[in-house]
Amino acid sequence: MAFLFRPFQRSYNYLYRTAHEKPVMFYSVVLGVIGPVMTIAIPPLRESFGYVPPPAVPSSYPLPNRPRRPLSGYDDE
Amino acid sequence: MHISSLIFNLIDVLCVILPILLAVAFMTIIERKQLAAHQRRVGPNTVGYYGILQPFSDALKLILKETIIPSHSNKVLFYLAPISTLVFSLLGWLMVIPFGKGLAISDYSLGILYTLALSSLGVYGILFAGWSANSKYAFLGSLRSTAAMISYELILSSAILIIIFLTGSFNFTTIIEIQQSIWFIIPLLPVFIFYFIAVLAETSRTPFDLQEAESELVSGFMTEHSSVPFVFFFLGEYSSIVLFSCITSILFLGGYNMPEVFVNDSIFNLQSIFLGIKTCLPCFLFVLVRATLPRLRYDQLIDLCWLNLLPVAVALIILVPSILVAFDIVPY
Repeated sequence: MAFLFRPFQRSYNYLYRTAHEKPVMFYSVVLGVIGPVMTIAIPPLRESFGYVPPPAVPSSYPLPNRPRRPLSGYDDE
Repeated sequence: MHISSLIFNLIDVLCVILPILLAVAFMTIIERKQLAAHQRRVGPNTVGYYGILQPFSDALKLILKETIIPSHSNKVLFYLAPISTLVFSLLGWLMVIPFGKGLAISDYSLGILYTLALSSLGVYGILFAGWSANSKYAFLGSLRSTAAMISYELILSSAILIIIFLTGSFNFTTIIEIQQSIWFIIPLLPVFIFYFIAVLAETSRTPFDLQEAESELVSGFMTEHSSVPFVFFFLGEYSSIVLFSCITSILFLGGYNMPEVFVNDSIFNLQSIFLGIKTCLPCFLFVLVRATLPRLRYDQLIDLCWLNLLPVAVALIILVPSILVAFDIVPY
């Protein structure tokens, strides 16, 4: 099993050392990476638990799908 | 514009400015009394009852002093610097601060941008003061102050940007109304902490006051200013402190919101009183920090901004809207 992690040994050591020597940078990057991960991972998870997104707010008038009815009573006499 | 509307506008402005100038005067005595309390002494207690008239005595002393203008100074900028500092800090009160529901002089929809723009313009007064004095130490103090203010404006803007993400509006009244359910200091406590650090640096308060500390550079950029120009700098500095305290209470403490346990039928506007009480809390915090923390060296001040606060600010700017999008609670 150890051979699976061997290629990543140096990366793990670098992260361990950075977390102790430059904690501000390390944890800022951690906080920053959590954001996009949440954006990708959480909506499908919520949908799988039954969350239904609310209907989108209409941004235009819902036009009927039929020909225009001719108007009457507005002609000049 | 009709003359009567001009007169009413002037009365509106005076109704705001005069109490603010009084508040600034009393802020000086509050600071001295509170610092004395922290240091187990009494503070000013001779002039007036409990020393309440001390600020007026200080103002009279400073006004009656001789105004000394260095002969090789740039006279125009020498006078313009303190005037611009005071004017820009008082302008922040005029347009956008809501003292109650519908009680702002002009309920500007971009109030936050206006406030940030004024704080950026306030840097010019400090730059002109140090340069116009034609003195090495004043110039050094002014350059240090300018660099510190510009650096911490980034942190201040980042903190305010996070509030804007949550509310979807630049308007102060909207931000206050949205806090009816919960004050933003509760979910955004880390943001409040680095916002407050940025405000301390913007107002050049301890622990970020190396550039105007008496033991370091005499009085920094205002070394050569005396009497009335110095009064203007002093008033401008304390007006900024009270203004930023008010903005802190609007952004994080719910502004004029109060628990509506009774219907207010009286002529008294309790919302303004609540805003005033909430403004006193950050003012107290300013003086508490001054009494408690040692001063930072200038290189430590700049390193704190660029190497420590800015990465956290950027991380929070990425994290907060991601949370809003992930949980589908985007306000716009």
